[in-house]
Amino acid sequence: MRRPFLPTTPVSEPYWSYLQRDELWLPRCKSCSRLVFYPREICPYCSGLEFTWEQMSGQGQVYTYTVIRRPFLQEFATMAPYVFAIVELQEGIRMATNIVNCSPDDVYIGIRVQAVFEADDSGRKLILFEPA
Amino acid sequence: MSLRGVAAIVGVGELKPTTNPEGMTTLGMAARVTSQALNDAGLKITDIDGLLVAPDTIESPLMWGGLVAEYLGIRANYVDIVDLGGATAAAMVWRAAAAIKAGICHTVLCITSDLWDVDRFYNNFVHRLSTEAQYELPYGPMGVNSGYAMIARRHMHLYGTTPEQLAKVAVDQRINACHNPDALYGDKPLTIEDVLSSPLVADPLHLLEIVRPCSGASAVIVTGRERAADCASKPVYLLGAGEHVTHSSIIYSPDITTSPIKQSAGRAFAMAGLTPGDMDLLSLYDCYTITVIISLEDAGFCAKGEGGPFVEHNDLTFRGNLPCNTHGGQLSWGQPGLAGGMSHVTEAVRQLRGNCGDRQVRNARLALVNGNGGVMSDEVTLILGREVY
Repeated sequence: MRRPFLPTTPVSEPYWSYLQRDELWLPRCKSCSRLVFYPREICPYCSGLEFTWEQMSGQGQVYTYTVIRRPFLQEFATMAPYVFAIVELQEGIRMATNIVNCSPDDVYIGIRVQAVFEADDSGRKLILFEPA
Repeated sequence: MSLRGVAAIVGVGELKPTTNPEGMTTLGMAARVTSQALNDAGLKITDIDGLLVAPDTIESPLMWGGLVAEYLGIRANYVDIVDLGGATAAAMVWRAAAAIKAGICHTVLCITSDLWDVDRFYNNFVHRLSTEAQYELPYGPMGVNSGYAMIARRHMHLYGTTPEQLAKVAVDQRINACHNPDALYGDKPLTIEDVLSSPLVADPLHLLEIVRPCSGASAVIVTGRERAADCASKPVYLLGAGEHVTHSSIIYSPDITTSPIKQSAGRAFAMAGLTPGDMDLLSLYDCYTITVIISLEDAGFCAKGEGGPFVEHNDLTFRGNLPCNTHGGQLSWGQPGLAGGMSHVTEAVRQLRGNCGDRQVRNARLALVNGNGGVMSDEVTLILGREVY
């Protein structure tokens, strides 16, 4: 399948570049030291403008999820049913993802998951999670 | 600046929601509800000097407010577009009152009019406009359905809320719809079984727990307290208002099972000098069953996490102990785009005037209206009263 990727921006480009190397890196605000997701030009906690990029463990747990059976987006028709989830990383950041390499019935809130980096048919990689 | 008792809603117009808008236009529907609202208030278009419009969610033309003013023949001293999703309508009412109090204008027409095309809306609009959607869209979200489904899932996990308790919201509101000839789904009552046996659209939410998008329009006219006394209708006064916005995508909500209604309702009650126990009826934005349960909790009608048992043990119908969404709510009345949010305002006004016929709540004096936009992100709460209490 081809996933509906959107254009990146200079601010988001490092995030996507690291994913292509099977690594998850996120920006940390230089002034308040908090991790920020998604990457942006300003820190939403302290309005700081400078960030350093830092590699994440890729470990986390499912914060909540739903099973999508009737996708709105045509691209996902062949993938349904699939798990659309929010994963909370060990580092405290929450992000949207899919839980893969298991049945939707195996997923529950709190299940430990780890990152997998997977390319779609266009060859572009994104971060997914599977049960740890 | 307190808005308590500054202004009143004096005119209401509303079209019955439809799933077949063949031949209708956004401007045409806006014109029809404007005519109704003017007649209701006993006003002429020349009496209107302020205009608030909702964005046209399908066409989104630039400078939409000016086009609406031109079409209707309004010479406006104040025009604005309010863009808070389902909270837009409630947000218009307090903005109108604030503009009136500031002396910018004296009588404001607030219009929501929406021709609905769900595919265009989701494929072209919601998901693809924001560059920040790049972190979410590649995972195949299902519009707002997946957001509310994830809220419901976590609420069930944290608090033990059951599918039956969620379904009860849809069941009670359907009884209300069965007493409203303008409801899209008012033909026959629902049972909890009916709701739970309808298809799971986004786990754990079933088809009958999700609003049906459709087309329609609603309008209200807000004017200052003194002018309101001269209008043809019985004025319904704005006693309190509060607004709070915390996020856009639910992924980044500070707390997925807590609604910003906590702040918006808190501010509205404080302005009105009233408490949840003073309310005679509720008009709570109900895009999904879970929205009503969380709104009841965070607006202070029950303890956090107790929303499930609360709806199970209380009667939310128009003849119940806590009448809620007496028009049927958007779950049964319909969700004509942003006019769905306005239906919570218009129904509260009709109830407070005593104009609701078969579904009239006895001695309704005070109502809480809530608008909820996005995925529990944009909240506006109003307290409306038959008098300035």
